[in-house]
Amino acid sequence: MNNVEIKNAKVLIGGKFEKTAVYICDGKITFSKPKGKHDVIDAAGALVLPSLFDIHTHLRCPGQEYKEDLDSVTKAAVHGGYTDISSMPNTSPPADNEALINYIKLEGAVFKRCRIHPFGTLTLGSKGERLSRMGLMKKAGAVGVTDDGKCISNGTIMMRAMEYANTHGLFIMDHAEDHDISANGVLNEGVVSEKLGLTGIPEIAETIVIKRDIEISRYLNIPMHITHVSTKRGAELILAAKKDGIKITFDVTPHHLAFTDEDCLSFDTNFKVNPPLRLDSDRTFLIDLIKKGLIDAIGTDHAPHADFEKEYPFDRAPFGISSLDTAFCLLYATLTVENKIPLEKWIGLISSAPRKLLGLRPSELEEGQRANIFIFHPKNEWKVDRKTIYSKGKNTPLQGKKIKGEVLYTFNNGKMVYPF
Amino acid sequence: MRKHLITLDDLSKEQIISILEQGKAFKEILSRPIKKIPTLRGKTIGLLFFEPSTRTKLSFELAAKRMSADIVNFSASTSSLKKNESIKDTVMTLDAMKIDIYVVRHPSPGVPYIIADHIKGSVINAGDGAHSHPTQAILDLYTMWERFGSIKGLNVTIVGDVKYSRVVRSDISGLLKMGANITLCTPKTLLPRYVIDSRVRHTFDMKKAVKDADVIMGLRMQKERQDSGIIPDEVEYNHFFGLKSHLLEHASKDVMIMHPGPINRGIEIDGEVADSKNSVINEQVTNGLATRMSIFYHFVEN
Repeated sequence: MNNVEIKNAKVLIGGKFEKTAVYICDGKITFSKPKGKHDVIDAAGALVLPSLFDIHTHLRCPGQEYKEDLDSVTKAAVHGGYTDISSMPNTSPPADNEALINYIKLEGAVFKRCRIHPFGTLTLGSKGERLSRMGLMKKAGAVGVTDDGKCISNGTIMMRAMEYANTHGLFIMDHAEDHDISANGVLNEGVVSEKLGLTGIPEIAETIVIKRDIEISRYLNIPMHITHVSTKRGAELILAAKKDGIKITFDVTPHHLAFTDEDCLSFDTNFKVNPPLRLDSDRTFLIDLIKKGLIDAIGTDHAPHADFEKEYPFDRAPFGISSLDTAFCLLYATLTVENKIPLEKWIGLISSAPRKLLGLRPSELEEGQRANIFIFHPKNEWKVDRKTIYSKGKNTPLQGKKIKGEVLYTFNNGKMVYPF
Repeated sequence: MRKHLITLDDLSKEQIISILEQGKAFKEILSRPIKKIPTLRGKTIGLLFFEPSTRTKLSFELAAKRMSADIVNFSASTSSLKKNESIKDTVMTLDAMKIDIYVVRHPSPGVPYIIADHIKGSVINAGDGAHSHPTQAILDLYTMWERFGSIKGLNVTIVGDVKYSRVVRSDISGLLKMGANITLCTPKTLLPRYVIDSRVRHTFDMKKAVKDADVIMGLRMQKERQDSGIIPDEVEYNHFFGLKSHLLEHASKDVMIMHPGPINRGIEIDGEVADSKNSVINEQVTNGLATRMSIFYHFVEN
């Protein structure tokens, strides 16, 4: 592997941008010029950043390779600046045993692009009835457990699953949704859903479970992470619980920061996602929390689907947004360009913060660290279309749109993994 | 004129009035011994009904025949669409047959937009889920306009299943555009949690709802609402929200009773109200034919 010099870029070191050359030498970062020959990347106008970590990716494999496979998802990841992704276990069959965790780890490594950190299910088949083999899954390399996509409605089972997961020191993530309340809903319940004659998913479908989870976490004194919080009220409940000393954390998605239910007015199924896009007041509240440093992480909830599925009418199309290719660019456009939050203030939410939540070694852009970095040009404009995104799922609301800010290179462990 | 009629938002107030006025001319033609006119000769109208319909389909079909159009029928149960037969593919096939106007009914909101994206002709929405039913609203507006001369300032009371009704969504949109005052009367479980428009009043008291009403419109109560626990049962519903003759005393003297049909006698409307001299329920059907002819007239490309 050749050593590399990245010159003329601004490098994010210790939370601040410095104009300095940075070198990748034997897979590690150094700021002093190595001896011998090396490749040179002129990154004028670009930024060198720590590589990203996604805490919430739907791999779709095994079982739904027509939506996404390990080749396409790892390409999409490194194209988006990610060198690490956490896979959700709602595959077909669900990742509820050590064999499947092993499969994901081994098969994912074949492409040598990014690392996959699998989650296992909390319950067998994510059915919310019997516990899965959480201990053996952890031994096989699972970083956490969740029944994501579903939510355990039975309080006793939720408590037992948490106690058992905690026995093995597993990170517990919950998708907070009362399925009886959300029922046949397909977008946020509000003026928009009433206008379109589509069944709404009320805010309370999320907040009622967050409230329950807070109580369970408090009662058991076991940490819990709520993923993809979409409502102002939900975030407020969690922040209040944190003040009470309850060990509860949460993440939000790029799309809930960028879009609202009004985007559904055109019946574009690329905006159909669960939890649904909410009101602008929810969106701006969550952005404000990022400004104040009160959100624990940002996860993409990357959910690729085949074209024909998203061509169904709005009420029948599947939920989900394909996100890995564009998540960072969308966040940059939303948080830094639109809302003037400096990049250095929020990039940790998708790099160091999720690693820390999962108890993994931090990967900082420091002398002597493994070179997990990417180079981002904030001014380059590119068009999001079928060819420029690598995920098999072309279901992004950005489809056909131009976006400012482009990932130029991604390095994983010193090796250039993007461009391929 | 815009090319498609998918919701009443596609029409300005002036365009609505133009459709109503032309509708009057067609209604006159329908009263002649020979009811056929050559306006749409050589044009092809495709009736795409993805859910069962008797009245609306018959009305469109007859309107097209009266205007000498050729008609093709496409009926698909939603189950056949589940066999991966996408709407896009179906419609592109039909478009290859050079159809001028598509009349579309589908159980899913928004489907007329999908169809409009893939065809060269015009789309007229004949009802998409709980979203929109613009031709029903036009015929309702016509019925009021013909009787009262103007819709502005009319007190219109709508009683029944508001939450799941495409008719109400379109009627409200049209009535507000034309300046009517709207009152809804329905239990909370059948009322949208988010008000469609702040100008719309609602009450849970039928006496208050019909007070000074010029028009009372009943809506069909679907049996499934009872089964899914949205109302206790039909007896209780009729007791509190049924349209009964003694209520008419509180309305204005010549109150007009409307209903898009089919009616459930003894549930949302009592038989004697439906059959009373105030009732225009059958007149609405005739007006539906005349106004659909007028809509074809306005939307066909020359």
